[in-house]
Amino acid sequence: MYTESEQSNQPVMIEAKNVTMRYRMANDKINSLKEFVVKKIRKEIKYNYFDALTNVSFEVRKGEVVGLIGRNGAGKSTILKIISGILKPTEGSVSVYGNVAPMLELGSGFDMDMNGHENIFLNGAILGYSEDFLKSKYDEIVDFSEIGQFIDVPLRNYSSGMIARLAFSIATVIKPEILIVDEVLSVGDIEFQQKSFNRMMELMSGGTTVLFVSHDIEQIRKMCSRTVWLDHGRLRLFGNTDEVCDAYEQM
Amino acid sequence: MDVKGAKKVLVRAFAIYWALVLLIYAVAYPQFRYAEVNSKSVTPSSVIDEITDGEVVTQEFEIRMNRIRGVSLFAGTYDRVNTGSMRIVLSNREGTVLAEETRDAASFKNNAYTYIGLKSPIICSEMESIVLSITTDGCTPGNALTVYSGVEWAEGTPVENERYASLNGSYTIGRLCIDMVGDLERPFYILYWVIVTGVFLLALLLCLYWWSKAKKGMNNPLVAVFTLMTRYGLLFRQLVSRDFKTKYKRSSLGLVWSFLNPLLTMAVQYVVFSTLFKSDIKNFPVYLLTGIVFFSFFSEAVTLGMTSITSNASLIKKVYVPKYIYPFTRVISSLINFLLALVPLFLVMLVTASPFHLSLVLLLFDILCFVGFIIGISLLLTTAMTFFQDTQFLWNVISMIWMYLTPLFYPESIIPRQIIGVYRLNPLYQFITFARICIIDGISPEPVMYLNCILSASLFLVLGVWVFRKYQDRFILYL
Repeated sequence: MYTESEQSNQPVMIEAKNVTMRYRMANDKINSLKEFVVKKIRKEIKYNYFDALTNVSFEVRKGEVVGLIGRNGAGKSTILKIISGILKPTEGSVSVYGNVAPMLELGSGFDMDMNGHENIFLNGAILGYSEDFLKSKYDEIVDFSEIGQFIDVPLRNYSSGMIARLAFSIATVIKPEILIVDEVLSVGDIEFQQKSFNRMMELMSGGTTVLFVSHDIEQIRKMCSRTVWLDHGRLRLFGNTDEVCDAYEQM
Repeated sequence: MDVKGAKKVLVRAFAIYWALVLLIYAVAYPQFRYAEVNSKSVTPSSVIDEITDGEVVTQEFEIRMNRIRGVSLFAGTYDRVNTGSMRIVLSNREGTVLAEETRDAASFKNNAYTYIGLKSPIICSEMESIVLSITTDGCTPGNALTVYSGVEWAEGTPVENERYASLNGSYTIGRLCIDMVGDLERPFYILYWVIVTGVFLLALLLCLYWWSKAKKGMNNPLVAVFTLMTRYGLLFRQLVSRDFKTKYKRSSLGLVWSFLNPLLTMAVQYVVFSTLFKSDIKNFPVYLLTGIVFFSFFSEAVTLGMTSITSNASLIKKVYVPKYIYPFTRVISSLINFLLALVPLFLVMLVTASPFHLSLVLLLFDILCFVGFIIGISLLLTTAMTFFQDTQFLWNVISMIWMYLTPLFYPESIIPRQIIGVYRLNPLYQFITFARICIIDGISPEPVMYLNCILSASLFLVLGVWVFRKYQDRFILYL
């Protein structure tokens, strides 16, 4: 980790500029052509607009661990989705310089009918790993996940803990330039939680830029240098972690 | 960007392009250089009367072709088996005999065209008059053939008197119903090289332009494609193999279904339709199977492709992957299935003793265009499907109508002449007919069919990519 003055000289990795995300909600979700045509003719379609994010700007520099806090529905997940490229903002822009490893909801790329071995390659491919890399790290993934002999069993026979462990192992085997962590540290039993926490710390100390979302303010204080506080889609505060967290807790 | 890798891919793409260009030219050269022509014939309306020994029927033809390969003659046998033989002599105006063919009277069909091929084709300059004369040997009244004549061309315009046929030197009141079959040289075989070189140079220029832009670090389609290929190549392969594994995961016959499915469909259709259409179609089983295999590739790929976004919703909501990859992998896994289904097609060709022609390699071109067309349609429908779930049901109906509009189990000849032009606008008709010509007729299709295939493929591909690109960012809001 760098000191604050050193930090501000580091190159920008994530830059969010005046990001606004507006959802258009039809009064009734229309998902059939017939409904659409009928309602269009009757002029029954009314749209309500909902701004999940309004004019949010911040930047994350290389090697920083930035926390993201806010109440439920403050827009944390939305901004993470925009950063990882899943959503396009309605207005403003997000520039990301480097490859992003999204750790949003682990294991969503698994196929339950395929076995652990096949899923390591499938999920690795989804995360953009190369085949050679996966082959060389295969044993490490299997070891870390503690799956053992079950690696050749179809995933539908796994327990949810096993699935989460395997997913975490695949997601963190790489040393990404930017890591997005959305409350994933509650994976598995206590022992595995400790192990995964160590792995996270290891990644963070290795120069990886991290965007970290948590409701656990203590964790944020421990790990983050700067923190973004989102409130009802607006940027409430952005700055030194302690100041932001103090303000947040006084609310 | 990985410069070395990119160069390698580009060089490989161009090598494949030229290999295909050369292959097509080598196989299709005869059809590219010569167009088959059939001299205009008159509508049969009356008979010349029995042609017995000693009688001579002559007819002068103005032909426009570079070589004559044979004549097709509308004869009548009075519905009996005649003995003796008929001699056909082709000569020029000065009386020099150019070709001579003798056929048994028994080999002629009654009230239908009989084709007589020449032993060696007559080479002629483009506009020439050819005199055809018919004599017989061993034909007596009551045991002789006749030839039909007519006074109207097929389009309904009357024939001028001086072009009537003559019987023993005196003019009759009609023109013989005889087609001259031959080839007319056309400049397409030169045009072909102009086109393929033009396309190549254009592609090369575009690549160089993009390359120079990429060096300056600017974004462009070339860079985008390479990044996709390197970063998502593995995912692509994984998704295709997943489609395959899950398809046959819990079936005991597994892969065999890929072979069995088209065969069984063909067997059923053969039983049902063979009495109806068999006589009109050369090699009916192969005709049927070609249609079935091509159409089921189309319908399977599109049906799977269009649900690719909705069925991968959980993934799309969580990880960013270029969305093209989902419909694209579905089409490719169907393509693999289709290639497997070609195996039973070749088997049926073996069993029915149909020859394997060199023109089979032209299928490569056909399939390439077909895949492009299918990807285009899939992208269009995937987009529609994501916004409106009932697209799926609509598609079921449309694909059924489309199936009946395509000559899969019936011959094209049952379509009324007035609407045949519209009927042939169907891209599936183009792809399937192209394949049948290569497989059954053993020759290359006409150059215009190549154009039709390219046009249908690029039209739908461009449209599909454009629509998909325009709406892909909004998919996530509807999943």
